[in-house]
Amino acid sequence: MIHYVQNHPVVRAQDALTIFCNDDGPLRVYEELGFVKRGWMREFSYDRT
Amino acid sequence: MSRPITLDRLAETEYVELADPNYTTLTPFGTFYHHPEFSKRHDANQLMRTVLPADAEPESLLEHLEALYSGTTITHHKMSGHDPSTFERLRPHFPEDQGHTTWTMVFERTPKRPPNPGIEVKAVTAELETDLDDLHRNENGKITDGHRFARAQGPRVGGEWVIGYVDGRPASSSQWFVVDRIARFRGINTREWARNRAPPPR
Repeated sequence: MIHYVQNHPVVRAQDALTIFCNDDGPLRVYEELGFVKRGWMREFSYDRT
Repeated sequence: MSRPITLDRLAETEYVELADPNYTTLTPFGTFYHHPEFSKRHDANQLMRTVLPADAEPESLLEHLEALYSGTTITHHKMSGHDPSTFERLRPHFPEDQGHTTWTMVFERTPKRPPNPGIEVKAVTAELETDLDDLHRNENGKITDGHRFARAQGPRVGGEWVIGYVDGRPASSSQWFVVDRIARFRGINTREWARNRAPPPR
């Protein structure tokens, strides 16, 4: 499915294709599919109950 | 010539995907998003693009966050962003299990993993929408909140949903869309029976 998107003409016409991956997600698979880490987003959350 | 691929541009795909501007409020510390139709979804009710100004203390941001949520019934309070300084300064205020990191990755190299010839990928059209929704039903047969939320953003963010079929059966789905010339691919949702059937890397 990622190959389909990587080769989609509209996607290829953009400046970049990005995918986000959580720390516990399939990082290695995405790297094998040609993706490279370029930064991170962070969040904090808590429950008030 | 294309503009540099900055973290600002990559992160914006996340903010645009999630936040319907009809339900956002600009605050001194970022964009507060509260979608009343999805009041139980954390990603639809959070402070985004969070930035702690250099002359402000973390406590002032945390107090402001409480005030933002005080007009809601939401008990799970969340803030997200991509400003390293902000999150470094906030870190001492949160135990490890209240923090979460998401990597932003860019397609730059030749894939080592070949396409799986056993998967037929189709763009979702009206006649395939039932297959798409069926991939996102819970054990009670109801479409998950997460999928309803993602689908509700579709008309606003555009792009395309795709389904992967194995032996003619819907096995996985995902979506891609474009924000300011950055194409964003969402994670893949795959049925249990269809997992780990890809060919090995070259």
